[in-house]
Amino acid sequence: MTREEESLLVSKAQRGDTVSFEKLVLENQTKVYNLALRMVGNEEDAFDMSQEAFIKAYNSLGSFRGDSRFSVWLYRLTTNVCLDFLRAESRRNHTSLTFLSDEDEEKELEIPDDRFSPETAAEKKELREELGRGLMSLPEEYRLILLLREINGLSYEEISKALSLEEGTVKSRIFRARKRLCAILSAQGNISKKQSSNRAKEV
Amino acid sequence: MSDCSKFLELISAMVDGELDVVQESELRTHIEHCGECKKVYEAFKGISDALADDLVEPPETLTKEIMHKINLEKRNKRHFIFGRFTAVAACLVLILLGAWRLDLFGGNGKSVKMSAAPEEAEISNYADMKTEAASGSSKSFGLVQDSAAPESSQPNLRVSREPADSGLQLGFPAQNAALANGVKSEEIEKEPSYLLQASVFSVYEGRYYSDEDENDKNVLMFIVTDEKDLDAFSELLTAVPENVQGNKPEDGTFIENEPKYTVYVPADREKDKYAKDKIISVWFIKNEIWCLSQDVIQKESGSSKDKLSEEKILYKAAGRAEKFEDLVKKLKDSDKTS
Repeated sequence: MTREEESLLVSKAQRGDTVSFEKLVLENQTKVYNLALRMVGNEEDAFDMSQEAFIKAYNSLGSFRGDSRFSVWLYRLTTNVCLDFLRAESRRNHTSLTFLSDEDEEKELEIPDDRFSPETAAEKKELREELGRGLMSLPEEYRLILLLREINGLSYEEISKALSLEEGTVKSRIFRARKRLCAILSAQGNISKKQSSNRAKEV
Repeated sequence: MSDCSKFLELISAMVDGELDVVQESELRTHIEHCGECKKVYEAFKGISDALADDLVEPPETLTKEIMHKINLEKRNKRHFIFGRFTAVAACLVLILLGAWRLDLFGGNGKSVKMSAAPEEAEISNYADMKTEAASGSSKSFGLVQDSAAPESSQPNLRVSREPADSGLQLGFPAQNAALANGVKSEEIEKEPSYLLQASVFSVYEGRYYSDEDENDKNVLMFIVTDEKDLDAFSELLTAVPENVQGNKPEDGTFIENEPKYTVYVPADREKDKYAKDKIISVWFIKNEIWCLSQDVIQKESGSSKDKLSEEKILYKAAGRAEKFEDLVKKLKDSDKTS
């Protein structure tokens, strides 16, 4: 959908045309759902979050000014809905959300070896699963910004608008998110290596 | 490695396509020669590809549920602009409340008794609310009893099969009464005023099924939101003040047939919280447009059905059928291209 087509549907929807809004839903549902899924980590909640995001979007169409693409605005709504949900969950579970810390800057980048050029389907699957787990271990702000970049395909400029950040901050935060993810994967990898070598010993 | 640390963030940006041409080509050159940086690049790229690759389809019901909820919410807060509440409108309400009987059209010239007090129980809620406000002004408006229907023609619009208290009201008595009392026609609001100020119409083919269970039988043709089109529709659908005279068709039995179109006019409840959505069924008789207007009574909480008012207003509209058809065609066509 081009920006013009999107624009037209949005203005119709703003005046009460739910049929046009439905077209916008269909166009964006996959990305919204996947964003939610990776943020909250399970399908049921992702389904609920997606609904909430779209409904909120419909109800606040009046405040959409058109200076970004509708989809970008929608993803922002989605992230807010998900963050609120995660915060509420963490209050319920008495766990705390993980925080960004400056130590991310100081630590060296650890690259888990050999894992990033999967060749077989099985390897690819394994990588995806590891990444999925790794993502859920990331602090929410890192997870969020990485997902907006990778799942929703937003540019740094769009992300800076969506999250009200400076572009420089977007760039460095994404870098740190990747760095942290690599560290997590290394750790996961070391654990599994240990496990497999232990098993090997047992045999 | 520390030498290359300045490159790391750039590598990340390059994976995202955010470097300019010069920066990118320089970096690529470096990567070719630097094993460490190459590893970093491959890691970041690998993550990127794996994530982007892994989109799942949302459940099929997602869109449906979203739209269902939106439409439910929408019905609950439709906006109806009640319109300029003038003395004329106040009188209209009073008259609808009770005084205007179908007997008028019985052909025996019996005239209408105007009374300030409602005579029967069928009161639509907005009328209820306005009675108080209106009762003062009706007197000043000067309605008189026995207002003569214009001497010449006996209106021959009869809805003889409908019992008198079916709630079917004919025409727009306020205008007629006002005309009969010599109020200049420009001063009379052309009912229905809500048409003039609605911001959305939904136009359905044929009948409108208000029952939730039958709701998917509704054939929505298009939704009108453009001001020009709304105005055009309003012009065609507003009542002819003199509609009581020289009526065609001979009797109102045509309303037993399925209407050609139905127009749903949402109410602005911010301006008037008792306002109701309206449903206007449209028939074409020869080249004339005949309309039957009904209110959608607020549904009780918990119920999913729209209840339609017992009272219906049948009137001849100002427009010509062919103009209406042209408008419909134009809107249908433009909708296809969007």
